[in-house]
Amino acid sequence: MITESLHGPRRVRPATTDDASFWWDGLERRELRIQRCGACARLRHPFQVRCPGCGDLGWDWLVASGSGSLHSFVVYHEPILSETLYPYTVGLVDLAEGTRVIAPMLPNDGSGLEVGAPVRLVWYDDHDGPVWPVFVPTGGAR
Amino acid sequence: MTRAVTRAVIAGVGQTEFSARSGRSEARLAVEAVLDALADARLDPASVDGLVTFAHDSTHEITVARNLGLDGLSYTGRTTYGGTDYCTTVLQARLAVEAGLATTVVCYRAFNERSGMRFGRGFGEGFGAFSPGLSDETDQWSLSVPFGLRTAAGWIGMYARRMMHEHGLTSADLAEVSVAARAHAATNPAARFYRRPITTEDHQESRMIVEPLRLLDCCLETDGGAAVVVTTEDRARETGRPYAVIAGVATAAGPDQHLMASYYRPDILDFGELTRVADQVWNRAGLGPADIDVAVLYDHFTPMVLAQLEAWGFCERGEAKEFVRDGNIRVGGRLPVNPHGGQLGEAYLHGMNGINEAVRQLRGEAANQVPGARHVLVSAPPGTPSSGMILTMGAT
Repeated sequence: MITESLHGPRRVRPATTDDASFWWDGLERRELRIQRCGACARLRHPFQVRCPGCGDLGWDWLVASGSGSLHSFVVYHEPILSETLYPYTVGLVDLAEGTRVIAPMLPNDGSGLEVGAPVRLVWYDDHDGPVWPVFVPTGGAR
Repeated sequence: MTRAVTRAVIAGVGQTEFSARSGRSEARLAVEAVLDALADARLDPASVDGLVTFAHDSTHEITVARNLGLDGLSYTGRTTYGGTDYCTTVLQARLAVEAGLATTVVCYRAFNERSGMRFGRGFGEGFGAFSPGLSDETDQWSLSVPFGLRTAAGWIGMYARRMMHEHGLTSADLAEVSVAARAHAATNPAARFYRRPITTEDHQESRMIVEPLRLLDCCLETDGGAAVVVTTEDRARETGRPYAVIAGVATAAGPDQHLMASYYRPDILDFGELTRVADQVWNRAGLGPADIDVAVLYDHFTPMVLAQLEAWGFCERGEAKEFVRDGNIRVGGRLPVNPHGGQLGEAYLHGMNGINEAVRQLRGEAANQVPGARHVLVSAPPGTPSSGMILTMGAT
């Protein structure tokens, strides 16, 4: 259960090219997608057009389990911008599948977060914007 | 019959005043900086036949050319990656001169970055600020900006947190980088923070911007312009003005390189772009860390000064926090870093004011002169494709 409302910028799906749209489509379906090579099955994130391993142009994706560990994080206090609530925390998460992803974190003030600690994905939905991926410390009562 | 390659050198440097509000256009700042550099080089503006600037710069080469009253240009060039690419301006100018495409190429950067579009405000929802339309760049930013990671303080803060975890770095360790820069700026009349030194306590009491970075870990925001004249050694010699030789210059990208957020390597503190620059520059110059008298390091944020000291081999990885102690990076210390005050103390100009400082140190004209400086390192930070060079004094 998330009991704290998520701070940070107003949630908006950005405009992207077709290369990125599958990833953003996934978030709308509460799926954190990881691109997978169609030939050698190597996982890659960020998405790119060609497998850096075998060179194949074909790909699909798998859906991340949502478990991982915290590689690093920052807590934003400034710049003060309209439509943004402070403080808010952004994490860099090592996913169990082996790729790494940037995502918002709770608690907003980053208290108790530690590099290397296990985290898990939850879906934040306050009906005031798109559903958003958020990572929280594993085992936390949030 | 073969013709010897004409060596390109730096014949002059120039700048506007550095302020919070220039009160004039970016084009005017660019033109003023270019003219100041040409005057410093004792070269007639009409001799300019090439111009190089940043992709981010708002003033086109042709605008500068018209304002200089030039007949035209034989070379124009832009560098792609912003501050990390600043030495690439000199690399491009050198290539153009040594290839015989142009004879006198001026590199410039000018902006109203404090009174106009402040980089510290970050990307908003329309985050393609430098890249209108959809592209691979907007796709890259889409992975950080919508989640609030939208300023350089945040992108760099992510590396800094990791340094703290892996190297035992503390915020108090970062203070010395900032305190040293401000001590240098305090005695440099051109610096924004002239006569305004700070203490370690000031740093530690300054407010958090993006944890773990405090206000005094972050560089200035500045209105101003700077320019560097690159020309043939023959022409530089004719002016009678001391010039700087480019002993080695390089630009490089690293493996799995991204813009600012190169976070997807197994080891995010293994900055391949900068070690690739350093290896090439040391090799071309035939020099090593022990030969460097002054280092101009890109200090947009204090942790990246430490990263540069390590990437160039002045100390081992994780040991820069000890290296900077005991006055080692101050004038009079083991390796004076940014005697002009850097971007923390003099001005934030995407690094270009640092090239000016390097040339002044070699000529013996710097505000905080390092006696007998012969080899000056000029380095960009990692995280985005990087660049660097070593300048030495030319024979006159």
